[in-house]
Amino acid sequence: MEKKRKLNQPTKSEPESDIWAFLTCRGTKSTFVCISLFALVVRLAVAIHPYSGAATPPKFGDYEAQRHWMEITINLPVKEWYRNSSTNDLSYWGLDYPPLTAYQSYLHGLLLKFFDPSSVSLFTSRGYESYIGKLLMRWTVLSSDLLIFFPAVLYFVTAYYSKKPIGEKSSMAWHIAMVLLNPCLILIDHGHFQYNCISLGLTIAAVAAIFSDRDLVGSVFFSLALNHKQMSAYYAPAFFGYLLGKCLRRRNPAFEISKLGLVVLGTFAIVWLPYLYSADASLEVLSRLAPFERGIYEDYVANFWCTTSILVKWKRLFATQLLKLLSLAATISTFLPSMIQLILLPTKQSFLYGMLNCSFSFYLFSFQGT
Amino acid sequence: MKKSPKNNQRISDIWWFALVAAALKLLLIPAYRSTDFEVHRHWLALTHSLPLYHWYSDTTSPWTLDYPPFFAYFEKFLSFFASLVDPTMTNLHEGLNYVSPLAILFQRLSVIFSDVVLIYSIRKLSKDLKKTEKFLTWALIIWSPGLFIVDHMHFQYNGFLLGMLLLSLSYLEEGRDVMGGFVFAVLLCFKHLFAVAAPVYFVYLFRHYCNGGIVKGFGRLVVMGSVVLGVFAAAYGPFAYYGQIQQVFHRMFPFGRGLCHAYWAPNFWVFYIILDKLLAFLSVKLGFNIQAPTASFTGGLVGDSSPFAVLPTITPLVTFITVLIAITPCLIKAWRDPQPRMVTRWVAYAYTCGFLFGWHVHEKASLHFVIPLSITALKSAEDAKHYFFLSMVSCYSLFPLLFEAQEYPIKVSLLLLHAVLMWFGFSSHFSGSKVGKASSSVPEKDDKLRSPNIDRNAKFVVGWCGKAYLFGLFVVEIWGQFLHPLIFGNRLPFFPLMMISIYCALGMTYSWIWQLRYIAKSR
Repeated sequence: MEKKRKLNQPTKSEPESDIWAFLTCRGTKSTFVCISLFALVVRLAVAIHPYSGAATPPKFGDYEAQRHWMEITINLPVKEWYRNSSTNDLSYWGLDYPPLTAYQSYLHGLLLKFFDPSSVSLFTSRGYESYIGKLLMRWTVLSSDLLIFFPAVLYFVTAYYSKKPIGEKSSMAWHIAMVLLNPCLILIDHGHFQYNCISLGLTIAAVAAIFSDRDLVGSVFFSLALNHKQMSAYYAPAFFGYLLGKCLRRRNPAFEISKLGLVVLGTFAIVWLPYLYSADASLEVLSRLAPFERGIYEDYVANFWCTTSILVKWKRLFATQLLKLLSLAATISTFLPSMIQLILLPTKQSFLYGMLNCSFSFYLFSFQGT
Repeated sequence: MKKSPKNNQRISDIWWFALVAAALKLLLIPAYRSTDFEVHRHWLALTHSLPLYHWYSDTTSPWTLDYPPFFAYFEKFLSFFASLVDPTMTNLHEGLNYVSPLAILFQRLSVIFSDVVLIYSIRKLSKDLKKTEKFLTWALIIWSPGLFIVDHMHFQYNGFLLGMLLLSLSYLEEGRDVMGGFVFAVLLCFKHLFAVAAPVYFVYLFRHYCNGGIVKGFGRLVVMGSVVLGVFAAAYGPFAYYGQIQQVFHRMFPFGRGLCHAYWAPNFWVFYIILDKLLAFLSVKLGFNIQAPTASFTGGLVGDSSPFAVLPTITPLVTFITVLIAITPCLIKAWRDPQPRMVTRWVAYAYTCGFLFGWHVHEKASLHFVIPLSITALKSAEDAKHYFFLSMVSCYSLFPLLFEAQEYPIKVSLLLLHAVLMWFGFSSHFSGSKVGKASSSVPEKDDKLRSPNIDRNAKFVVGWCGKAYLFGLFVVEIWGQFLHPLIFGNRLPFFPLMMISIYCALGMTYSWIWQLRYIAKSR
């Protein structure tokens, strides 16, 4: 009964029933500014809470890891960043994200060095904790959020709703709020301390570009996201499937694929430039990105292997090598159907669902080393 | 077809606003706390550990109880729970300057929960407003940046006190004068600072309630008087029994303080002080022999020494008389024509006068008139424009309360968010067009209550003068935060604060004059 009445109502939002009309009637940008300000306040409020590993020597936590990366990147030459040496002890929070994170750490490190040099001095700043240091670090996350994540969301919302009918514009405000006020992202980035906003922002920008039919731009953004955090590979099958599917439907598929390939390879090349002088250097970086020796953190993950380990003791039954293959097979087999569907019928909506599917399958079945 | 009655929908909607605010308040728990935190913790300990007759004479801590007895009873009520949460907190001696995570959590939560009084009274006061007006009013008060800054960061209990004020005003607007008077009397026994509006209440209730002939009027006067006296008896009775009334008043009115406190509240006396300094400077240049003042403005009245070099000294009596003179036009209006719909404005005006001309005023006192004026902000475009300035000036004048770097972006963003919400809300509500506005399609319920000389179709427009002033606020902030340290370093540390005081005092004076004109011109 309620639904039927809704359909009979006129499509323009009635001022009586929609109290947020004063905001949404002013257009996307005004709505976005207002919601962004609130999202900013929430982030700032979360930032006053302690970060991960606060006052817990000797290893501290993610905050110390990020600070250490800033220390390494501004004090050592680029080639040394991923190399174990006397000045760079990789066992103490060695860099294990791709080069874009390193460049970002370098830029943020410059900021910290300007305002508080003792926070990033080589060796002596290990375990450095201070009021101003915390503030500066928090502001690096905040600035990354504001410069990358927020504009990406605006881009996405504009692209997503550009072709929708007028009646759905009011849901745009709620959509913006849902993305910007996602508690997980806020808590991890501004509380625990990480820079997911950069890679997720770049991913959102890639999705937005795809929605605006700018596939090449989207590929560039996604490649950058991959180069910031290898976890963005969670979405790779969806991007791959959709873009491949679109290319196959064009007049000259080979040409389109090669264009995409060139763009992606070019982006990777630019990011990895300092490490392309030798295969060894590149392999050094790669080995840091996929550490299979990890184990302990994964005990808390709510994924398939951890949960079912109550019933099936995977570690006791199978060797690590076999477990790796098993998880790979499980992951691939769960994202393969949606990827194939995307290749065969690439639509924007199924692309979004494909992203969801792939990220879930990676999350549930990928190797965690338990 | 909405099955739930109208009232239920309103309840659920205001709780959305309240919960959003509560979420933010919870996040702000570890933020900067001022000494007021220790003050209230000490009062918890005091009321918990000592019997009644020692509350106002104890000297264990410099933070003596300087609020009236009902607040002390409130602290005692809280202290029952506090002692369960963290017993050291309520220990008189061991709890001195005691800070533990549980203590902080308890105190912060007590402020958050006491705000429910504010929520209730706002809901009651805005019951008859149209939907969009109502929601905007809620957004203005429940999400007021001033309350966030003062109550939930600096640490005070203004939320529920202002809630009681609004409750009393709502009763008066409904015409339930006895209840209104009763709640106001209760409020006075919680915080005596609210007594500035007592003349307005007295005149209004006398003329509105105690009329209808000599006998009936006198009878009603007796009723009202006994209600008020009953409240005061409940509050001060026990202390009178112990013969402590003098001590209680001595603690409640500490006249050892100066005309201004460490950070000058943006009121009229700022201009007076600046004028005095200027005249002293000029007089010296012109060859006169001016003795440098021996006292300071922030210290107390010590003997015959005066902090003023040229102009006559200001004593508490002078400020008292000035406030009374300033309130007089309002009292005359209330005497002549006691209309319920004007009560909120009169009371807000009284607090404005108290703020501008009072003795040892804190900048936090600006909340006392900004919050009631939020109720009237949506009545006309002129009101909206005035409120837009006033709330921004008031919030900005509270900035010096949070001086640490961590809270800086928070207070700026809160102010910006409030400004943006006001801008969008007001300009869409007062769009100046008849078509599409909800108000035009629904029969005007309060048509007869609107002042006929206000143009209902006026647009919410901020002129160049207003924009220049707001831009000036921004300039003052940039100067104080960035340029001053850059150019002057550590010299003249009082200068940025002085600039903030003076600049905001200009805005406050504008508000006072605007309110005075409005009240004078109203029929």
